[in-house]
Amino acid sequence: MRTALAWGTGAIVFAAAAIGLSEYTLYLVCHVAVIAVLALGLTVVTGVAGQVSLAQAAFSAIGGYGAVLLATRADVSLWLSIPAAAVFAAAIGYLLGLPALRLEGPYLALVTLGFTAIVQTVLIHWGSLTQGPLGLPVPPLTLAGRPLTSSRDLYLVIVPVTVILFVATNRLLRSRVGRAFHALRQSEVAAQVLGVNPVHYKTLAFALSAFLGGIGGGLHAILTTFLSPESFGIIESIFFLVVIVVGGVSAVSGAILGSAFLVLIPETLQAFRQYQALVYGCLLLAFIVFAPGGLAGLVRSARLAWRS
Amino acid sequence: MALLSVRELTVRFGGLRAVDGFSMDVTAGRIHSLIGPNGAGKTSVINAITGLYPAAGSIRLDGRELLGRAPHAIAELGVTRTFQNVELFADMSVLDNVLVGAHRRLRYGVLAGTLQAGPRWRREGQERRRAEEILETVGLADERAREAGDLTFGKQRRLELARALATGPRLLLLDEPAAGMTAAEIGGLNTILLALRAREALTILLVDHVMQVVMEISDTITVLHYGRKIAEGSAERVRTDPEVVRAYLGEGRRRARA
Amino acid sequence: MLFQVLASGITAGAVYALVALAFVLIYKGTRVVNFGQGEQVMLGGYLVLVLNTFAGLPFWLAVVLALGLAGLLGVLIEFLVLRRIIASSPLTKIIAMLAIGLILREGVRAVMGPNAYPFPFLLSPAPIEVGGVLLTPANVAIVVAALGVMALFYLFFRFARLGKALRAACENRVAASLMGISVPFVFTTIWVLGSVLAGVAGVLLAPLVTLTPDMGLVAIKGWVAAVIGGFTSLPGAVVGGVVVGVVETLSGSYVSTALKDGITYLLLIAILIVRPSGLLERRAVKKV
Repeated sequence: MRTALAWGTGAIVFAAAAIGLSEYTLYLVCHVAVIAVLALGLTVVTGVAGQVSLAQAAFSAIGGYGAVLLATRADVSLWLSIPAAAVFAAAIGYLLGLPALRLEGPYLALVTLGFTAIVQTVLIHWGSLTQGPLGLPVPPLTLAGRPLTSSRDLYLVIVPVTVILFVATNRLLRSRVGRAFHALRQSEVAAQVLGVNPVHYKTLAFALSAFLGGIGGGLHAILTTFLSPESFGIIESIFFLVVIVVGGVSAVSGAILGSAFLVLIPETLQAFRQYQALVYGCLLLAFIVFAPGGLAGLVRSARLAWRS
Repeated sequence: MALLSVRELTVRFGGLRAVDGFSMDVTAGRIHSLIGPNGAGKTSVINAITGLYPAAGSIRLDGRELLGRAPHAIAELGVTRTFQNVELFADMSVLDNVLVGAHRRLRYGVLAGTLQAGPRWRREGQERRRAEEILETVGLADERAREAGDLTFGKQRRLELARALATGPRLLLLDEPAAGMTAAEIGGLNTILLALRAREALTILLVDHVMQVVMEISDTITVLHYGRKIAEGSAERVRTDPEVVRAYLGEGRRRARA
Repeated sequence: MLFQVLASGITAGAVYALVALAFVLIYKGTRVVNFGQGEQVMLGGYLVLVLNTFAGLPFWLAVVLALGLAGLLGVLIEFLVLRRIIASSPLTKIIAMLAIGLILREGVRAVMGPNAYPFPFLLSPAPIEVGGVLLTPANVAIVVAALGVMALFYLFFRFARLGKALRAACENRVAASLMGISVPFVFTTIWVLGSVLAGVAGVLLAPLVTLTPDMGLVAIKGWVAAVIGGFTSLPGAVVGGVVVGVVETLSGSYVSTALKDGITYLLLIAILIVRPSGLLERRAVKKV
C-alpha cells in the first residue's frame, strides 16, 4: 500500500515537472539523472563490491561512441544501439576484470587507470572512426519519425530509464548477488568459506558497472549531442568517484544524492564555477576523511537522531 | 564411518613445517576436538581443510579429495567454518550475514535477482524463514536488524556460528569458538553444539584451548604437538596419556622460565 | 639512430625511476598507494618556477627551497590526512590520495592558470656530439642528477642509522616498535623522503616536458615502472623506470609517436596478465 502510494506520488511529480518546469531546469534534471546512472555503476563495483575502478569514464565512452557509431555507420536505431553498446561495454568490463581481479587493491586501480588511458588514446588517434579530437556529433533520438531534441522530450525518456535502472539495481543489491558483493568487500575470506566464488562475483560486479556506464554514456551522448575524447579521461573517472563518495559509497541513493549535489551546486553558486574541480577535490577529501558514509550516511544518522 | 579422512597432511611455511605428516579420521555425526599447545598447528589443519592454505598429503570428504580445490568449491561440498578472530560482515545486518551463509543453497542469478521472479527466486523466502529459525536457535532473533559490527563479542561468535549453519554444512569446523567467552556463555555454546549434533546429525571438528568445551562435549579428541599427532581417543584416555601430559607440562615449564 | 633513441629513452627513464622510487618507498613503508604522486611531482616543478622566475631567487636556492617545501607537504599529508584514516580500508586511502592529487592539480591551475610555462633550466639545450650520438648537456645533467639522488638514497638506506632503522621498520613493524623505533616517526620520515624525491623528479622532468597542471599524469609511467620492478623493490623501481623510458621512446620512434603512451599502458596490463605473481611480492598467506 505504502509503495503504491509512493509510486503514485512519484508519477504525479514526474508529470507535473514535465509540464511546469522550464526547459533549462529539465536539462539539469536530465544531467543529474545521467551522472547518477554513470555513478551507480561505480557504486556497484567500488562502493558495494569494494573493487577500486578508475575505468568508469572509459565505459561511458564505449557506451557513447559505440551507440553513435552503430547509429551513424550501421544505421541502427539509437533505441537499440545504446543498449547494444552497453552490452558490449559489459563484455569488455568482464574481460578487463578477469586478469585484474586476481590482483589486489593498487594493481586493480592501476589496470583500470591504464585502461581508461588506452581508450582515450584510441578515441583521439583512430580518427577515421571517431574523428579524433574534432569530436563526433550525435544524431537525435527519434520517436515515430519525430526527433527528440528538446530537454522536455529527453526528460520523458531519460528520467524513466534512470528510475528503472535504479530500482533494478537496488533490488539486485538486496538479493543473493548483492549480498555476495557486500560480503566480498567486508571479508573475502569469510565469503569464500561460505561458498561465494570471488572471481565470479568480482568480474560480475565489473561487468555490471560497465553496463551501467555504457547506458549512462549513451544517455549522456543524446543529452549533450556531442562526443569529444577529452571528456572521457582519467580525471572524469575520478569525478565519478567524487560523486559516490560525496553521496555515499555503498548505497544506491548515494549515487543520486552525490550527482544532484555535484551538478546543482556549481549551477547555484556561479562564483565558484571557475574553481569547480578544486572544490570537488576538497569535497572528496573532506567526505572520505570526516564523513565516509557520504550524504546518504549523514541523512541516515540525522534520521536516527531525530527518532531518538 | 569416516566422513573426513586426513592422510599425511603437511603444511609448510618457508622452512617450517606447521603440520607434519598428520593423519586423522572424523566420524560422521560426532563432535571431534583437535587440541594441543600453542603453535601445535591446529588452525593450520583447519585452514588446509577449507582450502585457505596450500598443503601436501590428502584430505578426503566422503572419498572426494579437497586439496587443490578453491575455498568456495570446498564450501560447495558442504564444509564450512568459523574463525578464531571472528570474520563477520560488519556493516551488514545480522539477518543478511546469515543469508550470505545461505548463498550456496540459493541458485538464482542476476536476472532473477533483479526481477524478483522465476522458479529459483522462490527459495529466497524459504531461506529467509530458515535464517530466522537459525537465529532463534543461537538466541539472536531479537538482533536480526542490527548491524553485525555493533554486537558484543560473545554475540558475534554466535552469529558466526549461525552464518556457518545457514550453509547447511555436512562438516562444520569451529576455530576456538569459546575464546573470550564467559563460563556462562560457554555453557550456552555447549548446549547449542550438543543440540546440533543430536538434531541435524551434524559433524563438528573443533579446535580449542578451553577445556570446559573440549572435555564436556567431544566424542573424540586428537592431540597435536609440533605438527604431529601424539594421542587420540576419548576425553578420559587423552587426559591421562603420558605423552599429552608431557607436552602440556613442557609448555608450562617453558612459560614459567620465560 | 638506435643509440640516439636509447639515449633519450634513458633520460626519461631516469626521471620515471625517481617517480617509481618515491612511489615504492611510500607503499613499502606505509602501505599507502600514493595516487597523488604525480601532482607532487608537478608541484615540485612549479615551486622552482615560482621561486626562481617570479620571486627572483637564484636557481639553486629556488631548488633547495622548493624541495624543502615539498618535504613539508609530505609532513602535512601524513599528519592532516593519513593519521585520521590509518585504520580505514585501502580503498579509503586510495580515494584520499586521489583527492589530494586533485586538490594539488586544481589548486595549481587556479593560481597559475592552465597555460604551459617554459622551465628555467640552467644548461643549454644545444646538442653536442659524442661518438656519433647527439647529447644535450641538459639531458646529461638530468641523468647524472637522477643517478646522484639514487646513489644518495642507496647510501642512506645502506649505511645511515636512520636509513637502517627505516628499512627495519618497513620489513617488520612489530619488531621495529619493540626495538624502540616509533612507527609514527617512521611514517612521517618516509613521507618526507618520498615527497622530496617526487619534488626532485619534478625539477628534473620539467625541462623535458612543458610545465602544466596536468603534468602529474606522468606518474602513471612511474607506476608502470614500479609494477615492472616488483612494486616493493627499490632497485626494481629504478630498472623499471629505465625500461619504461626506453620502451616508450622506442615505440615513439619505430611505431608511432601518437601511440607511445598507449603502448606503455598496454605494457602495464600485459605484465599484470602474464606475470602477476612474479611481480607481486611473495604472496603472504593471510592469517585467519
